[in-house]
Amino acid sequence: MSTEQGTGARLFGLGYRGYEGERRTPRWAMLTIAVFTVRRVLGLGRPARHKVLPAITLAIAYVPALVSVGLAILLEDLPVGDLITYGEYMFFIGSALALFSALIAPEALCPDRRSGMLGLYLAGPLDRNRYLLAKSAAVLAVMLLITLGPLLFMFAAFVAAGHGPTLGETPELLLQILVVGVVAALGYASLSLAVSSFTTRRAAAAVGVVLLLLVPVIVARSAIESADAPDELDLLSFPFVIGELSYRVFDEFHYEGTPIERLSTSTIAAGAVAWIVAGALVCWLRYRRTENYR
Amino acid sequence: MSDAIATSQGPPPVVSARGVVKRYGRTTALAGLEAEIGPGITGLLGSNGAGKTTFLSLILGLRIRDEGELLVLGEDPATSGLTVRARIGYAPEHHDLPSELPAADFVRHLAEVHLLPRRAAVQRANDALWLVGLGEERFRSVGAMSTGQRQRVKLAGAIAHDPELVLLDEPTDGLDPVQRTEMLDLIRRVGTEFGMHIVISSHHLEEVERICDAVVIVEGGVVAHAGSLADLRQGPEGFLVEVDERTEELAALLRQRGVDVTERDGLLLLGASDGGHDAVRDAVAELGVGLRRLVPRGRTLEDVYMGTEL
Amino acid sequence: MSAQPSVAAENVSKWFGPLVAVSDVTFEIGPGVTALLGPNGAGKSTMLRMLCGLAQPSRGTVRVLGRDPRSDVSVAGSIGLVPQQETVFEPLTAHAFVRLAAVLHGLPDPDAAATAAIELVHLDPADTRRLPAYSKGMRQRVKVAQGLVHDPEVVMLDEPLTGLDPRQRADMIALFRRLGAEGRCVLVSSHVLDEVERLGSQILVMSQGRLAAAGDFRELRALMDDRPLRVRVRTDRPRELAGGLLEAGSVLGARLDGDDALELDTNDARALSRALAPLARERGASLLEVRPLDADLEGVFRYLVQR
Repeated sequence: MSTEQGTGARLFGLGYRGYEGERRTPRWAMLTIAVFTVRRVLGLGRPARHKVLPAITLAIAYVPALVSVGLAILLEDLPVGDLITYGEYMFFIGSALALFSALIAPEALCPDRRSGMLGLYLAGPLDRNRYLLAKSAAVLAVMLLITLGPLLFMFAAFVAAGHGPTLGETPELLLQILVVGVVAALGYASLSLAVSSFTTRRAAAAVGVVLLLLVPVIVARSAIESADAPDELDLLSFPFVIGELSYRVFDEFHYEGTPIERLSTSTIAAGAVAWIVAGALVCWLRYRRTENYR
Repeated sequence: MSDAIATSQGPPPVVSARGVVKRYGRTTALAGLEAEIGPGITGLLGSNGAGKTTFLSLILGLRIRDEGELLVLGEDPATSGLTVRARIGYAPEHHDLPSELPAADFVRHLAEVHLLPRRAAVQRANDALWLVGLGEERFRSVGAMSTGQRQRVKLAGAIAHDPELVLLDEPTDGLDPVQRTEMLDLIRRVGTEFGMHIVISSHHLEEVERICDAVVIVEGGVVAHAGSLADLRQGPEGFLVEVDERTEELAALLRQRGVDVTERDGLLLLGASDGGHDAVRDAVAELGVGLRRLVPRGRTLEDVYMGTEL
Repeated sequence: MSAQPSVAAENVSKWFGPLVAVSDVTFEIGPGVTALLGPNGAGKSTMLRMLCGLAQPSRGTVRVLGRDPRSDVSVAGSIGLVPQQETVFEPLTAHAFVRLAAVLHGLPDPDAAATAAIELVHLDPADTRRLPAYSKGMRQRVKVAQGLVHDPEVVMLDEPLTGLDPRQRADMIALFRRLGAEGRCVLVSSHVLDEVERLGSQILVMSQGRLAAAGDFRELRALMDDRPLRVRVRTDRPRELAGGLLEAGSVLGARLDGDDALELDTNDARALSRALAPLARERGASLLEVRPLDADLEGVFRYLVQR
């Protein structure tokens, strides 16, 4: 603190200072929570061990893109069919997607209820809907890192390596990438949020997410196979809904003989939307019901 | 039970409730509550299940009342819940806090959630933790802190964003005697020096009496008593006598001589009277017991709460 | 103690690896209510657990009614413990929950015992609601009922008044006093000095794992320091009273405070308290106020734990 020439010393108390500065709108509260959640689930601002799993999973998700581009560069005359295509990408990284979604949403939702933080949030300029919106946005943003991210990355890498699409093809390709990336992120986010809304324990929620991704597949497919159930039942196999949708959007042919391949594209799309809406609804309803703020 | 209203002529009330009704299914938690909570430090008392907690959640806008009017800091929490809560700081009763988070991060995050820009939030979180005496420990994770420290972290979290009203739920819970006094002194400072209105929900009458300017006592879903402590405790001043033994004999002896005496927890309470002091002195001298204490005793908050008359 | 003490500890220590929770504690307590005080982390809960036989001292002996609570099964039926932790409450009714304890204690008529215990804490034995539906205060009282169902001679309670509203607290304190007056040994751990003062004057103070003090807290005050006790007396004849007290040697010093008050210093609080009334009567002085300064429980406690 400077003193003017000639004046003596000044005494500053260390007492309380009120805050007269800017105060934001309630939207800011949502944004803060979303950003805070994104950082937490990715392990940013936390001890290193919390970054390990997210980092590994992300790496697994991006590796095929790297490999694909690398191969394309190194082996100029490799037939296109041997590279990992956009269409099969979601299918290819299915386990990474499962792992990541089992990691993220539980970390985003469960600890707040366990630690009493939810009560503190709700005692602030928020209500349940805003809280959920903020959390969902955070989870969605992070999921996009693993669904949209690798596809865009592959696109950019191809372009940089001179193997990109023509200028005419580009808008359509980008649109396809966007649709698949966003729908996949929405779907995985929605169902993992729904599962996480049932328990305060992260580990239980993680297991729940994995089970939800696995068990219906087994059940549906055996029912279709042995009990002659309709093929539509395979819409319960969420990873395959996304995987198959991806093929359809990118207009790529594949054949594994699974029931979902026999369904029309609009059916599959409707199935994906149903998963997204159902998950969101379940999560929302669970949070409305819980009287306990903890 | 009278629906007494504690009015503070002058500055507008911090909380104003008229005919507030809240039902849960067939149970009526609040049955026409009338209260005005003024500036300063107010104690909110009441039996478990009498409506105190419901009242608090209505003030916070966490639940919506069924009937009546309620204004908090001039706004209706039922319709303006977001803005009302932005102006309130809250320290819950339970001790659950995110365990891995360093205290400074926790308080900063809460301040940001209460709409402070980041830089301001960081600075004020820092200040708040120093103010509650946790300056040196502010980077410690909350989980590694003792109960006493956690209570102070909660308090810091409640005041960091410079709210107009602070709600504290059992702020001395789990604290040992020395820590309790420190916490009460801290709260008194916050209420007087920092210019925040405080409402303390507590079961500890003596503590409320020590630091509150006014109280609101909720019983059976309505306000049983409300007012400044000074007003509530008005009444003739009697006195309290403590002797080192034979308390019942002393009481009996005094009654024989026409002095009205009540015994409570091994102490004797006497009403205001001429000659009462001398009667006690003489009776004590006759019995030959030791006179430990003889102190004036007006109506205490406990008397008000329990409805006893001196 | 001429008679056998209800609870006795001798050179009791307890450590968990490098952490010393209790360090060389020795005391004896008898019937009546004794309060156990101390800062958080002082070792009170550990001590209580050892006194009930739930934990084994690393060193030293614990005796309840003359027997070892840990190894002697016969004394278990005479000890009631009301622990602090929020127990995981089964979806039972209060009566069923307390009855369970009665059965475990092998009581001949568990239903009647449970009913009696629940009524003792002023709850309704016929209430059909399950425990998770009870408020914290009610659950607290059920816990106390459970600890008392077998009519134990020794009762130990760890922070039993938490979560209770003022009326419930007053009821509970009255209950403890009654139990103590019946000749049981009631040991109550508490942080709230105003409550402790109402329970009685016997205290045990633990700090940093050690026993800082034991006994009547007023006598403890008298033992504290070489700080004489200061007593403020308001009277209409201060000079006469002061003169008399000085002559009688009941005080070390007396200071006039205005026209109507005295501040007296004494090393013998008891003697002063005995001398005051007779002397005042003799000198025709009215005693309008007699107030010991800094002799209350909080002062004693502060002194003991901050040493």
